[in-house]
Amino acid sequence: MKDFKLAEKRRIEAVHQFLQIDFDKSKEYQEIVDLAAELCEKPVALLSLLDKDVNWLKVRSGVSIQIMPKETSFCQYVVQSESLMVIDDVTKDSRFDDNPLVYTEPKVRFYAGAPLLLSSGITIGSLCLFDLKPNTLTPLQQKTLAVLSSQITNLMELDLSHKLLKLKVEEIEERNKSLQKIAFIQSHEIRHPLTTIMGLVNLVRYNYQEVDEEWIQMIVEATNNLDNKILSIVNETIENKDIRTNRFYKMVEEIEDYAIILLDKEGNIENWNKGAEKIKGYKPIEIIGKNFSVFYTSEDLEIQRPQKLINLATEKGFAKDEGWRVKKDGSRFWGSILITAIHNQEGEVIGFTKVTRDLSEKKEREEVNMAYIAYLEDQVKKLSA
Amino acid sequence: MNQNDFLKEINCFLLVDDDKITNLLHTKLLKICHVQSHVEVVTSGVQAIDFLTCKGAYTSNKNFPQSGIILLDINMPVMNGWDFLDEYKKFDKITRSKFFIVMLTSSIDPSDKNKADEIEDIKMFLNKPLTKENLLSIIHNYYLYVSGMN
Repeated sequence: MKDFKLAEKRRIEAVHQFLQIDFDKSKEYQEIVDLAAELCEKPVALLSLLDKDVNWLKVRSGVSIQIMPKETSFCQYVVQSESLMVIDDVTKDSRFDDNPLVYTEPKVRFYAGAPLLLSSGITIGSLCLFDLKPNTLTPLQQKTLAVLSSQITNLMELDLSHKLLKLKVEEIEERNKSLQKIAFIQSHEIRHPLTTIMGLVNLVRYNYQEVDEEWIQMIVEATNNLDNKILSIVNETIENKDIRTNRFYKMVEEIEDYAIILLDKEGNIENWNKGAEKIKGYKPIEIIGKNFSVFYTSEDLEIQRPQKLINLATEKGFAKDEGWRVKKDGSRFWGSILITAIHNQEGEVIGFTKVTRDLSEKKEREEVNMAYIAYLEDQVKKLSA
Repeated sequence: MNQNDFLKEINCFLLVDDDKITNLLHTKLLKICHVQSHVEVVTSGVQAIDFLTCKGAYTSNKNFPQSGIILLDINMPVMNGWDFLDEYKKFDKITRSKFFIVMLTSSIDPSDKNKADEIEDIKMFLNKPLTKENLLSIIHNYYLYVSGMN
């Protein structure tokens, strides 16, 4: 079964597209409509596009009216039937005998319309003829009207595709322009520190300046600036492109049973996954940027436990710990913690990953208690040491 | 007065650049070119306007600046070179005629050059880095500019 509602929606969309055409701009539309009136020997010819509520009379021969309500339009029946329609005397047709155009001025009597059928199979309007006296179309005139309507439809499709192509070209040109702009900005960002280096080197080269400690320091600074600029430009590009990295981060983000967080060198929190939110109760916005020591009890803070763990991880590459940790609401959980140091290419520590597992909810109560006792003993030992 | 005598007569050089090394470099170049004028270094357009109008940190300035050469960077935070020029345009014509603005940039965007060509207050537009030759040509052009005025 044909979905009429959907088909009509598609049809209206098509009509709106073709309404973008400037029909007055080229003479061809007027010539074809005039020709239709002349060859079919009728006083009025129109090119109409049938919109949702109105009938747009875009090209007119013999009248000047530009718009009509849809209900009183003759065109709607041509659009419905999608075929040529000739009505010698509209007063004898039940569809039109109550139409105000028929029983009051201008008192239309004859109507003929050929559909404007797009190559997509959608009918958007009609090329139609009117007379104020009953009349008819010869078979040759009917054929003429049908041919002219398909000619005018072809012309409209050609016009619209030109228009769309022009828009596409403009869009591409616009995009190229903005790409060029980005290239200029990036080149400026690179050239800026580069010109400083060039300036510093030039003075030395022409013996205007001795190479002293201060001068070398300035060259080093400018070189570092340049390096950072290049790195940040490259990183920007990689960020968008490295799907694998993104996928990995996404995976970490989605893990719910473990709090997996990244810490910078000082132990400040850089990311927050679902597990961390579940175990510790903070939302990412509340916690990112804070120091991971907020998870520690006041007792642990007193003995600088977080700092010691960081130091141990820096020294040995990792640090394991078990103990009471504090949630956002102040309650405690028994956590198993592994802190691993992250190194750069030079082997320097640039940050840490911290994996925390909540053991208190597991049915390892005894084990937890044992660990707690051991923990207390450890504390006592440390205090007495 | 020949050009060398004139060199001593330049009232003031105003260096406007947020990059400290660039400012230092330009100061060195001025020394190399034997410029003995007052050299004022500022790192933003706002400071430059304050200096020219003896406001803000420069309220007690009485002698400077009466006239001179301004080396202006385009890309600066807060008030960039273009913003500075917008403010500068509000100065009266006589004041503006005493200053010779040279726009310096590391940008290779031709639209910057085109924009600068449209602005009357910009007397020269140069790409960084500033060289001794560039600086001498700036001084020479300033000399011609001032001679033309008299």
